[in-house]
Amino acid sequence: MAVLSDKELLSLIKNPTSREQGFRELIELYQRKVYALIRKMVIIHEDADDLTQITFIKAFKNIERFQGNSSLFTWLYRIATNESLNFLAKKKKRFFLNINDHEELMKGHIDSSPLVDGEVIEKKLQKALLTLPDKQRLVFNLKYFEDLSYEEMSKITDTSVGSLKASYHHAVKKIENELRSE
Amino acid sequence: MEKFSKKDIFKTPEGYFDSLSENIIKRHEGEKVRQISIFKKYAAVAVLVLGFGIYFLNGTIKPISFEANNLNYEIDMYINSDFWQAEDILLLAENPNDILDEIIMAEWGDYSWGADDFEDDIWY
Repeated sequence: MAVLSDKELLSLIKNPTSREQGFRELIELYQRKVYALIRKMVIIHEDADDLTQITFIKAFKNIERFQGNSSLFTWLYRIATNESLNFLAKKKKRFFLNINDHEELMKGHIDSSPLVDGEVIEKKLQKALLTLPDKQRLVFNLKYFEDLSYEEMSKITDTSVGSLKASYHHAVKKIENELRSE
Repeated sequence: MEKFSKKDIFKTPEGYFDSLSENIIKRHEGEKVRQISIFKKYAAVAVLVLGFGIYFLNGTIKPISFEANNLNYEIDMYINSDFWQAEDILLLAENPNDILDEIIMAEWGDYSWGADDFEDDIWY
């Protein structure tokens, strides 16, 4: 199946007769990447599933506000990262008095969930990432795993390139120290 | 850092992505239906209140017989044809904040709102 351009997708979505088809095409094109980004942040599949759905529904509801100053991909990622960070902040505020409790719970989930499948060293990296503040972890994920440019990350996170470079640099140092100390 | 694998260790249940788009579409449709039914409820009340108001202002107290089915049909027609927008129904309602509260509860009932939740997003 040919991959539709942003212009073609938007044209389908904005036309009332092809709106649903356009929405489906948008989901099919970006669902795996959006889910992967969210899942790395929230760890648990059920939470990632819910937030992925919310991301696409929000995109659909706000498509008229999309001005085309970035790609649809960047815009979707922007929504996904906001949803993930808001979700984590609310979850920790509501359920966990001690911030370390949530971290320990997620580490346990990485070790025990059948939907987490990796080598020991790969799981160690994910557990070390949980020691970072959520926004810094996001920056690390976008740079290291998604291999985005700092310019793209800047559009997604609304943060300067310089701040992102500093944040990533510090994140790498912390992770290396964390892994060395185990 | 480059020595670490970039493999994605987070897996999904079998067939997850095959049904995700359908699930999203259904959820979106479900949210629209819930919003419309909330608006219809308040629109019906608003129309009744307006109707009674007009009769009392004219100084005539008559038994008014509204056929419930006709009233619902008319409201459906106005809303489904987009002749009435959400803003119109809110303007007709006596307590528009109640309508908005009900929609918020239906959609965001599980969330607890903090000060940072009202930060503006910039949409590209």
